[in-house]
Amino acid sequence: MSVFEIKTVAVLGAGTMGLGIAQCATLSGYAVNLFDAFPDSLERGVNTIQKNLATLVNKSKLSSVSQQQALSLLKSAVTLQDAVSDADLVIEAVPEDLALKQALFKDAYAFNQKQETVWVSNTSSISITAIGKGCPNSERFAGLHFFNPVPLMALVEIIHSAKTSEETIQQLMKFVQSLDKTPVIAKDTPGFIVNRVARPYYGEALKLLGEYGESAEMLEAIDSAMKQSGGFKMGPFELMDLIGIDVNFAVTQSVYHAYFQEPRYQPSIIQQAKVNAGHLGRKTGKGFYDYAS
Amino acid sequence: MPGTWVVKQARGFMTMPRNSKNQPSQGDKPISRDEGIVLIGNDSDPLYHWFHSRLSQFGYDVGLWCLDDPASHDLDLMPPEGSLVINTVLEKPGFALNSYLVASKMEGFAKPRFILQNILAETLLQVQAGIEDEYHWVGYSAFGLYGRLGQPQLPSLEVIQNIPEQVQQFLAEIQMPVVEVPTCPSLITGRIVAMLVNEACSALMENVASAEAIDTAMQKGTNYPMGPLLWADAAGLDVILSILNHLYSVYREPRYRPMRLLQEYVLSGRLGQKTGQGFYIYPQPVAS
Repeated sequence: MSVFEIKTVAVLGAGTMGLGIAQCATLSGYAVNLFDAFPDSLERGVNTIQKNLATLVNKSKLSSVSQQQALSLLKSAVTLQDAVSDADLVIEAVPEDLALKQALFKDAYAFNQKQETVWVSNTSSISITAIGKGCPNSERFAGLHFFNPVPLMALVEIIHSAKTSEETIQQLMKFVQSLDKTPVIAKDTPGFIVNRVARPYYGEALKLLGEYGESAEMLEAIDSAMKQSGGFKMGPFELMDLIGIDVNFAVTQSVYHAYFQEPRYQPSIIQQAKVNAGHLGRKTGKGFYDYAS
Repeated sequence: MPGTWVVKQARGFMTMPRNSKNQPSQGDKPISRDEGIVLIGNDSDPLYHWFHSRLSQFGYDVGLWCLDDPASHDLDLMPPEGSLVINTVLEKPGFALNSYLVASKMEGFAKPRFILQNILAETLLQVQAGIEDEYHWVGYSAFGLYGRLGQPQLPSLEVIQNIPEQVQQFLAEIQMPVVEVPTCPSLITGRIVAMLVNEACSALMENVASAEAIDTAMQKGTNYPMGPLLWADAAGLDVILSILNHLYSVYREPRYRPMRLLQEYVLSGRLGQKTGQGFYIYPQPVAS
């Protein structure tokens, strides 16, 4: 019995997450085929990785030898076929749209029909079972949820659907550990672990803000208390500004609706108002707090 | 850096009614070491013991009123001039209010001027309902200290805004960092962490992941200082449940419903580190 080993990884989608995953994988010695439907994005993505590695070298966090090795392992895949045909692990990291993901996987399956190939989605909010519905080897389909920014965040959630095999999970565990990251195994449920359990961190803070009215004093009271008393690195409002209020709002809505409007996940009109006003946090210079440009 | 940051009074009904009876009866006199402090608590509560050692460390004369030890309920053991009562007990509405009982028994000796009251599971309005007294109640929560007493930087006490100067001075004397918070039910940290625990508990009940996976995920995925289930074990599942019950009784909203698993653990005496078993099992109950 030949032992299946992951050596070549296809990363589909050259957005923030895809690039982070590709970068980490090359640094851990994996051949990475990076693909994006838009050639401009792909080119920009490769440049971003090159820049990031150069920065690490300048800060003496990476040797130039390792940098060169990593870059030599990174391949720009012009077509989907180029990306997946020789891949042992295919990681999908395209925008959060079920139809888009399903269509992409459907096309990809045609180009790689090996039994052992592992297919994963980096989705944070869509059912793995739903995304993997058309997979010919459903026991090889799973979720592999990285956290932003990928190079810095140690955690990876490995998500199993009802059909994912134990062998697949164990191989993904090994893969994650080889990236020097910490895997946790979770069932395919809305929000998996982190995005579900974290909901009250924002939800309760927003509820308090709603009761007392939004004021600088109240924002600071809650953020200060959570840091000084609770020991959290960032208070809820600072964190929402960092993540992006729109991103946070989308996750809350996703979990809320996925659980058929479970009351405790109810989104806040305060967040909705901010999103409507374009006050999304740091990235727009204003969220709950103001940020000097 | 811990701050003593003052919040402007919240508007309208959220403003804590200022009962004119609750003014310090002795002007600007600070809380002195000689006057002594009465400390009320439960033997199983690590914070009761922590406060005791902290006060002794800074040279305060402490009278211990331990709820589990009737022998300590003796006024002769209390500092005769006791100016401050610190009640670490998680009082619940409807139960005898220990700080008031102790304070009122001390009449004829020196009246305590200030009562530092743990208000994680009841509001000061509930505390004071029907009590005619001249004590100045200062609501606080030490929830942030649970499970984190060994930290190089001591977590702050949360204290309700407009802390009397004498109490501020006293807390500075024992080098206790403080963060001022508005009058929110269960204050800030305890409330949010209790809700995180409840959510983690729901994930556990749904078999989303193991307890260890949940705690690891929240520490490594979103940088929480502790995993919620371990945090609950450190604070006491009874404390978490009391907070959730309090929030539920105040708001009457389904979001605050305590998870069944949490309720059953508490009913069965499985309270966390202090009983040797909570969400995790401890070889020995963690010494207070």
